[in-house]
Amino acid sequence: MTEISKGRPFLEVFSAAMKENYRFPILEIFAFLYAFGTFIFAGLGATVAQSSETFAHGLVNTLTGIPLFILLILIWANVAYGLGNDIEKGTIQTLLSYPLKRRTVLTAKLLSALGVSLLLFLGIQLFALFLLTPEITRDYFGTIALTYAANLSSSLLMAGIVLLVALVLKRGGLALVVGIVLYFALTIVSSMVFFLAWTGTELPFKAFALIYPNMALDRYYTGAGSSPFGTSELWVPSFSEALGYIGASYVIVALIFLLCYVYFDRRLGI
Amino acid sequence: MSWISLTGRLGTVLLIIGLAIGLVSLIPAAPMGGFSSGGTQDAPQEKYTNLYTTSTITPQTGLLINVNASDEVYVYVLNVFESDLQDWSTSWVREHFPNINETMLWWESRNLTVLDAFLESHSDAVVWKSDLFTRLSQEVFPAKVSNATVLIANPSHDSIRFEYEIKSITSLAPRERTLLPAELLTLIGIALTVPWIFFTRIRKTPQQWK
Repeated sequence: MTEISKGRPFLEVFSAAMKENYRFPILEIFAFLYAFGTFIFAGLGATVAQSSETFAHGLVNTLTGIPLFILLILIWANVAYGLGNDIEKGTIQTLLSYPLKRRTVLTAKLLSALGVSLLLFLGIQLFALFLLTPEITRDYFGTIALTYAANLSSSLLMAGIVLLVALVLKRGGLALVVGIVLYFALTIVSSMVFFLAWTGTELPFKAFALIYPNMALDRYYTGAGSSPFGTSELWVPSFSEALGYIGASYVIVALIFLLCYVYFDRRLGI
Repeated sequence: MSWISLTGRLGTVLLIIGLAIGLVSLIPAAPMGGFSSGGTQDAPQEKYTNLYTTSTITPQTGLLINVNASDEVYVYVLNVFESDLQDWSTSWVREHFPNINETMLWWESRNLTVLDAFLESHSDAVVWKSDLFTRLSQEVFPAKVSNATVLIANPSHDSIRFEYEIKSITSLAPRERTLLPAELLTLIGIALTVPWIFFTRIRKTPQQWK
């Protein structure tokens, strides 16, 4: 089969996934929440920054609370309910009947579920940031991109885990519950390791930074600030170390998705 | 998914983003507690007077400047510390008038010619500058993190009296930056959405009538 003749079935699977994931007005509701949320949450924690670079990093960090959670909800809904329910109800058989490899079908589904959601989220947020702080966004685009990369890796990791659970259990609802529990568990763990780090035990903090690398990047930008528990010398990584943590976190994300592909390709049992 | 549906959905998304940004621009700036300055004083002729200095203003935390003067004046918001401006001004006066005595030095450093010389050599220090006015109420938000020193400059040959109040304010999004993009996005969104509504909701194709 030629590449051109493969392209059409791929687009048909992608188009079907898009129709299923983004029925009117789901896309519009999320677009509104991203645009509105960007302005509502931007900058509230970044006003004390003493340099434009730290301000740029802080500004993006303020957007990784509620708006990022909204992105996660959309991704989980697409992955768990979209793909998970397709498997649960057997409608995935129709997609697998296309003259495409299984992994190509999964790619088309993920491109719709993850790719379009991320494109919408990042497109709106970067546009809003440019409106809000045109000079900072232009001058420190590298810092902004790096902060987004650091924040998104944990979301992608959770999306990957939800996908894997949906594939293994073949139940979308259960995968969604696992995702929500995982999100809150990681929030609690991040608070715990931060507390431990301030009290002198830094190893859990560094280990956790492998799946939540923004902790390392944040320490690099904010530096040796004062501790809520008095004077402390909390670990401050170098820039290359912070980059290393971001890179390592994406390697973990890539491994999870690779596992999903291998399972979907060889062990799904459909 | 046909092209008309794709552009239509793109249109609805752009329309919604435009409306969201428009909604944000309607939310007024709010005063921040703790930082304010005000009073009534005289502005000597052809001199500038420092009104306010703050360490940091950002694209979301700016200044609300209200001035009511008896004659026309300028207001400048400069990205500079007052002490740095003073040091530069006194050294400029010393350089150009080497015989000036110390008691006159401070007074002469407040001349508008000195300020003009400073602004010529530090053109990027101007965060905002007003036109000539007697009554002003202006919100100032910088494009990047800045220091803020607010000056009033009296270009006339007579001393004038003015009242002023300067407050720190915070805004989700300065209106002058968001209103135009919001209008453009809404218009483009409507232009892309109308054909989609027309072809898919109002006028059905012959196949769909069967």
